Amino acid sequence: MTKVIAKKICMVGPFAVGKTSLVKRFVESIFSDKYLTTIGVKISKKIMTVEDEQFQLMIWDIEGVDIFTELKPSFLRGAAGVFLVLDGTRLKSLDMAEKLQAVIEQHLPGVPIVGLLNKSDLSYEWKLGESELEEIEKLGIETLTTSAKTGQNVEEAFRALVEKMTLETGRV
Amino acid sequence: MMILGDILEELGVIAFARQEDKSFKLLGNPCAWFMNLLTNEFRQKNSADFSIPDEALCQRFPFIENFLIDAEKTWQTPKHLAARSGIWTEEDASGTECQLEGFAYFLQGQAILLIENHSTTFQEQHAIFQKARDMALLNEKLVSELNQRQRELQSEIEKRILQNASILSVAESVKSHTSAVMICQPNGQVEVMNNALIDIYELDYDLETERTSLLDQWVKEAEEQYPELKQVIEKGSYWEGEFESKGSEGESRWIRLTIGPVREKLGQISHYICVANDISEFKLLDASIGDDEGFDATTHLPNRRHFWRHMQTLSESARIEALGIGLLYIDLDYFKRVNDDLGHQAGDFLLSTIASRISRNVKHNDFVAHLGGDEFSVVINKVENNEQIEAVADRLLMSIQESLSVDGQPINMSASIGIAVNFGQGFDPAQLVKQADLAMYTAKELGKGQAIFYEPDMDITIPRKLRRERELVNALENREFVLYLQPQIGVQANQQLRAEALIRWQHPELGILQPAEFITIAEDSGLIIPIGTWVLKSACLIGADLIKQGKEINISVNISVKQLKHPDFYKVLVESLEESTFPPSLLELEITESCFLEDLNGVINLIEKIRCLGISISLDDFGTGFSSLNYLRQIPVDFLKIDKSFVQELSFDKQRQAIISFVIRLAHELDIKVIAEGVETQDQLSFLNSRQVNFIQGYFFYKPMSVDDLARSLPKIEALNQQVIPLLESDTSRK
Repeated sequence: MTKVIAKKICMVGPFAVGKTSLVKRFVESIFSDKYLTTIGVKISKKIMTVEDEQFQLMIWDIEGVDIFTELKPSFLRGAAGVFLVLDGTRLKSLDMAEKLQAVIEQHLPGVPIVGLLNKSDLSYEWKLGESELEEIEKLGIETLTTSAKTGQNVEEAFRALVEKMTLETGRV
Repeated sequence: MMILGDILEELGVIAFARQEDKSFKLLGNPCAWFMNLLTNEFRQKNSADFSIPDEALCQRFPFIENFLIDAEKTWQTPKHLAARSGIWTEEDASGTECQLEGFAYFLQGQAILLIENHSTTFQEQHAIFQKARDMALLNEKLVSELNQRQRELQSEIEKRILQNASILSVAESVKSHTSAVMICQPNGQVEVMNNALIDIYELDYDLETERTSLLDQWVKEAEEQYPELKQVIEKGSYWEGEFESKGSEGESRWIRLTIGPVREKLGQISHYICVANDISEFKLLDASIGDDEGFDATTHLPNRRHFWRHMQTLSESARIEALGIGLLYIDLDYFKRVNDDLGHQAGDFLLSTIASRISRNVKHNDFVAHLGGDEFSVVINKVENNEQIEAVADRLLMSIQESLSVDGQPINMSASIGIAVNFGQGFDPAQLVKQADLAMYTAKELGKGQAIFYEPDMDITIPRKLRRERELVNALENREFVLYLQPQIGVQANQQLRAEALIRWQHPELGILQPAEFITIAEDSGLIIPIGTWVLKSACLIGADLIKQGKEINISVNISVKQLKHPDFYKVLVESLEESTFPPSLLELEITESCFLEDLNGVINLIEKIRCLGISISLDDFGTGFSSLNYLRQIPVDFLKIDKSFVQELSFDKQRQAIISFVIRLAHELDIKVIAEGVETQDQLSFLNSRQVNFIQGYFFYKPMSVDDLARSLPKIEALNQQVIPLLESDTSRK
C-alpha cells in the first residue's frame, strides 16, 4: 500500500481574492459567485498524487488580510508550501503582496511560495498591466493565473506547489 | 461540578484537563456539538470520565495540533499568559459547520484546554465582517464602476440626442435614473433635470430651468481643484472629476461629475450633458477604511486633483530654488473611437495598460498622473535641457505605440504629447499646464502621434484656430458663406460658358475672408463636409437660376478629399441636382490628386459612377503635388487644371515652360482638356495660348465675382468666348 504523505498548505492573501473559492474548486469542484468572507481558518483535505506519490494535502484557508485582520504567523506553522493569492481585477490586492511575502518568508524560511493571480475569467475587469506584472516578477516567486470559476490552472497550481515542496524537502 | 458542567455546556464550552500522559480529560459534561465532531469510536465513549489521547485529538483536529504548540508554552511557563487559538471552522459528520476557538490556561497547577463553540454568535459576527468587507470591496469597485456608468449614460444620452430624439423623450428616459442628469444649452440654460439632480440639490424644477447657475456653480466649484476646467469645456472636450459642492442650504457634499458636449452634424455644440453622483457617503467610507484619496480608480495613478496638488507643491518649492520642471501632457489619439467600438470596459483596460507603459518609461521620482478620460501627464524634476525631455517623450511615444491586444483584437494606439518646460525660479502651474495643453493640441493638428514643445506663438494661433472653428459653425447657421464665380474663358471660339464656384466667408467682424483663411480649419474639424455640401447645393441652385435667366453656364465646384470619400457624397450629389434641377452636364467637380492616394480603384469607380450621371470631372491643382503623369492615364477626368503657382513662374522658368508644354500635349492626347489657372499677364496668356491650352482662368480676364456681377458681365464673357483669343503682345483693355 502506498504511503500517504500529509502536507500542510496555506492559502494566504488579501481579503476577497478568492482563496476559499480556489480551495472549493480544488477539493469539491464547486464554485459560487457569492462572496462569503472567511473568518479564522478552515482546513480542507484532499489526496493528490504527484509523481507516483500520494499526498494528503491539508489546505489551510486563512482569513484574508485587511485593515481589520493581520496574518497570524502561528497559522503558517508547519506549512510545507504557501499560496500567495492575489486578485487580478483589484490592483489594491497587489499592494499587499510584498508585505505578505515577507511575513511568510520570515516564519517559513525556504518554504516554497506560489503566487496565484486569481479571477482570470473576469477578463474585462483584469487590471494587471505590464508594470504590475513586472512588480510581481520582482517578488521572485512562480506565479500562475487562475480562475476558481472556470477551474483554469487550479489543479495545475496545486500540482506545481506540491512539486516544489518535494523538491525543497527532497522527497519526504 | 455538575453545575459547572451545565454552565459550560450552556456557554458552548468544553473543558479538558491536560493529563500527565498528555491525554485530555473532559471536565464537566460531554457537549453534544463536540461529540458530533468526533469519530464514532469516541462518540461511543460518551461518558462522564471521557478522555481523549492527544494524538487522537490532533489527528481529528489539525488546527488544535497547531494550537497545542502555543498552549504548551502557557502550560510549561506558568507566568505565560493564556493562549488563544483564533477561530476555526469544523464540519461534523452531517456536514454542519461550527466555529470554534481554543483557549489554554494554567489554573491552580492544572493545564486546561477550553474549546468554545461560537456557532450561536458566529452568524452575527460573520455578518459584521461580511458587511465591512463587502463595503470595502464595494468601495473599491464603486469608484471604477461609477466612472464607467457615468460615461455609459453620457454616451447613451448623446446618442439619443444625435438621433434627434425629442428633449422630452430624453428627459423621460433619464427621469428616474440614479445618477443626476442635467442637459443644458451651451449658454447654460437648463433643458433637462432629472429627479436625482433635484433630490441632491433640493431644487425647484420650475425655478431652476429658468436659471443658468448650476453649471456655472459646478464649474466654479470644480475649478478650485481643476483650474483648467473652463478651458477644457470651452474646447468642447469631455471632462470628469470629483469636487466639493454646496447644496441649496450651503451644506457641503462631494460630487463626481462628467461634462460632455453633444456635437451635431455640423460640428457645433448643441448641448452639454452633465452626469453627477453624490459621493459624499462614499467619501466618508473611503476615509474610514483608509483608502488613498486622489488616485484614479481605473489606472490607480494619481488623479487630476492629486496632479494639481503636486504642481502646486512644486511651484512653491520652485520659488526658493529653480527646479527645472518638464511637463508632458499626453493625449491618446482616437481613444474615443476605440472606446465606442469596443466598449467602456475594453477602454478601461486600454487606459490601464497605457498607464502601466507610461509609468514604466519614466524614472521612479517622476510624477505620472491620469488626468481623466484619455489624458495623462508626466512631471519631470531637475530637467537641465530640452533634450532630456525629448528623450522621455520619444520613449513614451514608442512604448504607447507597441501593439496590444484587447479581447483578442490587436490594437495599435498612438498619442500626441505637448511639452512645456520651466527652468527658472517659480512658475505658475496653470500657465505651464496651459502651455503643455496648447503644444499637445498642436501635435494633434500636425498629424498626431508626435511630441511638440510649446512655443509662444501657440498662445495666439491655437486660440485663434479654436475661435475660428467655433465661428465657422456659426457661419453655416447664420448663412455667412457666399459663392463667387470666376469665369473661365475659352481660347478657341464658341466655347461653353464656364465658371468656377469659389466660397467666400462674409465674416461679421473681419469682412470677406478667402478660403485660405478657413478651409484648413474646416478640413481639420470635419466642418468641410457640411460646408462642402452647402457649396455644392448652392452652386447647383445658382446654375439652375441662371438657366431660368436664359444663361446656360457650366459651373465647377471644388470637392475636398474628405467630402469625396464621405459615404453620403454620391447621395448628396444626386440630391443637389434633383433639388435644383440643374442639369448634370453643366456641373463639374474639381478634385485633387490626393483623392487617389489611398484607394485608387475605389475612387476611380466612384468617379466613373459620377460621370455616368453626366457630370464632368477636372483634376485640380496640377503641378502643386506630386503631379503624377501616370495618374493622368489611369484616372477618368475630363479637364486638367494647371495650378496658378505653376503658371505664374512660367515667364522666367524655361523648365516649367517645357513641363507645361508636355503636360498639355499629353492631356490632349488622352482627350483631356486643359484649364490654366491664375493667368494674370499677357506673357502667360500668350505662352499658354501658343501651347493650345483650352481655357484661361485668372485676373487677366476676370476676378471671382458675385452672382449678380457675373450675370451683368455675361454678355461680355459670352462675346469673349465666341472668338478665338489672338496671340497678342498685350491687351490690357480686356482686363
